[in-house]
Amino acid sequence: MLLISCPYCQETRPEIEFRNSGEAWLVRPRDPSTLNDEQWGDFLYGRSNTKGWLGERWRHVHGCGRFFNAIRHTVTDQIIMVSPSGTPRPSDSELQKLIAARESEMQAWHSGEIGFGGSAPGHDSKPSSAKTTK
Amino acid sequence: MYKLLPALPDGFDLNDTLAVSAAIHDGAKSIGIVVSAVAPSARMVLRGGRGEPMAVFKKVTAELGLEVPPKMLRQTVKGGEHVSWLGPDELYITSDNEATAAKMVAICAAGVVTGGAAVDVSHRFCGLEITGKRAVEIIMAQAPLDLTEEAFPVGKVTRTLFSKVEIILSRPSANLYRMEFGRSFLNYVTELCGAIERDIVAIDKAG
Repeated sequence: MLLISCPYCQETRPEIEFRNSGEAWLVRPRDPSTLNDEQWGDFLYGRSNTKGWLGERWRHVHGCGRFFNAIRHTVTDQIIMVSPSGTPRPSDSELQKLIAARESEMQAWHSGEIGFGGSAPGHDSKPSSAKTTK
Repeated sequence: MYKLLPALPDGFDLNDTLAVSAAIHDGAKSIGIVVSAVAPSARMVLRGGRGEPMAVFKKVTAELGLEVPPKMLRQTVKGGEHVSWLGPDELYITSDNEATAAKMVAICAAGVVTGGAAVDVSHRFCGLEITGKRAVEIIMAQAPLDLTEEAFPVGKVTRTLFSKVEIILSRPSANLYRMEFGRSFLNYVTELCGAIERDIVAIDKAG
């Protein structure tokens, strides 16, 4: 089960309340009638099928009902960022910073410096403080 | 005078559906869990639209003599009247007061709320109240939420799931949880509550 933060509710909720709605930040062509079939087909069906960090739309369907953006790793399922619908995609350098922050957090966790939610290992952390995103 | 719909459909016996057997039902009462239907209420969904949802919320709740909750996912309670702030632009209002209900229906029937939309959903929702010190155990059995005191204090409300049923879960007071859901789920939810009561009693006995 994933724990996903909803940027509208400002809460971390279980995956079952959410629905994945495909790739995010796809730009609809301004004037579809000027496109040839291949270009239009590419807009409709062409997806990056990324192995790694992918921008996705999610919907908090059994919650506030809103669509939002998330950046999820398609292999590890980690989510490093969520943002309200309409927020531009973070730049590559911002993304690298987020990834680096997450990696150092994971290293600290693996080496036992922190537990879930940043508390010390062996210290029972409350479920409400467990988070998948910062 | 506006007449509220009955809380439960004709011929639906809550205690009969709830009780897996009379003995277990009494057992559940003995551990202090009571499941009951909420008072007959009118219900409405108010959407604040893209512009200024707060202005729409304030205007409509003021007309009904109610108050907007202090923030999202919170509820204000006035007697049997509840204003629940479920999403950025969504309020869910219930009232068991016939005068308020009449106003709500009139607002919805007028069809226009400047900047937003109001829809009367009285006919398609029903509600259960679960009371008692251990009421939370019924919710906990099927809702995927963190129900600790910090995460789900008195006055909180949210839409979530109860098993596979979408519910609006609120906590008007410390030992009272209220679920609102589609009427067609009534039988399922009630029987499920009965089954959970049975499990709680059985686990208590075994433990």
